[in-house]
Amino acid sequence: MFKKLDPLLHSELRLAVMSLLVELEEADFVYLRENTQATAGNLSVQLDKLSAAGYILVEKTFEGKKPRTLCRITPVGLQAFESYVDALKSYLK
Amino acid sequence: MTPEKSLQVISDAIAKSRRDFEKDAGAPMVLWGVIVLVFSIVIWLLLRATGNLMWNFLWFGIPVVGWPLSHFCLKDKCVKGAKNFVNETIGQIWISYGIFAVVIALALIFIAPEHIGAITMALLGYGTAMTGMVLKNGCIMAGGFITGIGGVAAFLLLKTADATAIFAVASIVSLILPGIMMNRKKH
Repeated sequence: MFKKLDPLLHSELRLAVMSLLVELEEADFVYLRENTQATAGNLSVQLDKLSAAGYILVEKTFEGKKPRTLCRITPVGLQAFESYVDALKSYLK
Repeated sequence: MTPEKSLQVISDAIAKSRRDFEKDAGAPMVLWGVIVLVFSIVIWLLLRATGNLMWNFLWFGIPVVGWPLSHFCLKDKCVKGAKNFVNETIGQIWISYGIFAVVIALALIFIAPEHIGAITMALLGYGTAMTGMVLKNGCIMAGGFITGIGGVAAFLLLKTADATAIFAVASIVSLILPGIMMNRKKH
């Protein structure tokens, strides 16, 4: 029996962002953009979706005079990611 | 997106992030190890040549030289824009070591200066062993235990001037070699 895949994570860019954040304590927008090779606009939209679902925490800060967007995975996001990986395993058995 | 593709996305992202952080991860340990090694040898030679214990005040030059040098030399080796748990934890272990070593040395310098070396050595070994545990690296852990236990024993047995040379050996066993091993691991 196949488990249902979380539609929010079943998108290449959002999944890549979550996979990076699982490994990291925090990452800023530039790091995520460079490591996912996404455009700034698309990444921004996907981060908003993950944030709205409570999967990540987005914090707007400043580094000197430059604005900086910091992202962290939340416990809800971590749980969703683990469930997604469990569901994936059911498809690969 | 197929399940295989999903797994590929996950493993690629995790592998990329790990590669970023493993690159030059041992550089801070190598740099601080070399600084401690140079200071140990210089102080040991000065103590042997003059017998003047005041040369021990040069130990406080380690943080004075080390902090600006590490800031200057390592700023390009840090991953920009992200922090990972392992590197942050290791950084905090060594910041704690630095604070303990300086505060204990300052506190004991006029009360029981003969114990400073042994305590600092135990802390150095502890820091290295903790680093090995966080990295799950048995060799680094062993280096920490050898430094901590062997260093304290050697301090208790040797005379002051020769005991100073133990720091030179300890810097190699607990900082330089583990740092080189961490750098090699990335390959």
